[in-house]
Amino acid sequence: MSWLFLTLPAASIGAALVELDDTCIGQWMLSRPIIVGPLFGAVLGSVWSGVAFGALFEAFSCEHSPVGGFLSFNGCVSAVCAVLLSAGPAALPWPAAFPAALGIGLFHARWMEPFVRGLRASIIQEMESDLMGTSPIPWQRHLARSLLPHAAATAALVYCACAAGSLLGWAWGVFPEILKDGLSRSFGWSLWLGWALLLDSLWRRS
Amino acid sequence: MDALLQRRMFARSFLLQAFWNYERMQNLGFLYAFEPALLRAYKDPAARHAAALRHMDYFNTQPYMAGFILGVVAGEEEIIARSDQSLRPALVARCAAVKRAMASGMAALGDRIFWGAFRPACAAATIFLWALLWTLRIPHPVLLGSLAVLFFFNWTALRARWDGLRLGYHWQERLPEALSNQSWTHWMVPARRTGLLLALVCAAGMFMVPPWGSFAFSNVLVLAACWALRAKGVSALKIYAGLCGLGCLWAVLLRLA
Repeated sequence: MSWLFLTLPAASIGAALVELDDTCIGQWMLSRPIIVGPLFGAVLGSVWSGVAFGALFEAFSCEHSPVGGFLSFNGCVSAVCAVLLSAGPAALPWPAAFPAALGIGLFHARWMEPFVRGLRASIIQEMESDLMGTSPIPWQRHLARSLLPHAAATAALVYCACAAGSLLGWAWGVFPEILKDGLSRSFGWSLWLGWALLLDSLWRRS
Repeated sequence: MDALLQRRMFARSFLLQAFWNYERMQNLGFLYAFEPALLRAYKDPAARHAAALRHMDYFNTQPYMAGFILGVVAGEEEIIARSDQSLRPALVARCAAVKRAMASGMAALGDRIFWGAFRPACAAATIFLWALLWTLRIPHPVLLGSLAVLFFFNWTALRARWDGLRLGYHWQERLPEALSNQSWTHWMVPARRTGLLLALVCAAGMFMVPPWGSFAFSNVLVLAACWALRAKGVSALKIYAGLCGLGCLWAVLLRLA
């Protein structure tokens, strides 16, 4: 029970705070999968799963530039979820944790973040009316209104996805053996896909 | 630009994207970072708010390069604040045009330097350092390797932010010309080539390590096929989906055999 009520909430809040570095605060690269993967892996006592997932999701997100409004995949959320699913009590095997976490990262980037960004339109109107007067702009309030929904949505997604880990573990258990074999093989190959993506992103513009 | 103003704008520039919205992108973040310059230029709150309203327009650039634009616009606003009322409309229009042009120019340059070169090169360097430190049996290879690369990346990015404020303010409209003579903008190609070399060394090293070494030929084949598909513009997700399908087909064929 301590996993659901202590470790996982703390990890979800930590993930949400680190994820803010991706597009909202700083861009100090703390949210890169290659950093958060090993970090969460070390906290959960499984550094090597953090290293493996961090490097893989880094390669997958290497081709995406956070340019303008284009969001295709959130590598930070994926790396954290993969580590939590595989190193948590669900102990999901790597070939199952990888596609599950990939799906969560896609969901965050393509549906959740655009929704949260859409909520910010009202802040522009409020700010314009603030500027019509002469009183100072309440930046702290606007910042809280902008960042808190983003962090809360990320934390909720990570928590819900990883709390459902045991369900995923059960689903993996009843999967046909042939599909399990196929996914395990493709996970082994995805390591080389990761190298190909990294090499291509460095080669293409050389 | 004095040090206090530079420090304030630098600290606030970290929140440039905190208000990112689809309507006008980084406009509120820019205004937040720019507020100390407005407070310095305009003592009258009404004039200051009128100037702030002008900066509520669409704005979008590469976050590490925003310092340059903040510096340029801070200089322009000081000129506007000091100018005669009759000259203001022309100066305001010039300021808006300079800001717009610089934002897209800096975005193109910053995307190529930071997202296109340094970020993938740093990813390759991190994996190389992990492998090197682990091979040399140095304690905490993952922590040390990650910290070293984080330090290197942030040193470059923070310098661009910090120096950008001062240089933008100093160079004003001569910024693009002056930037082309800066040494750090020429690091792009060497950084990418170094990253490529490190990634190739790591990938080649993995072919010699069990269990991958036992299937070296098939792994080389997968790597080459994936690279070729990626070079053709096929997305990573589609290639992964293809690998999953191929893996399942392989498993079925093995059962049948």
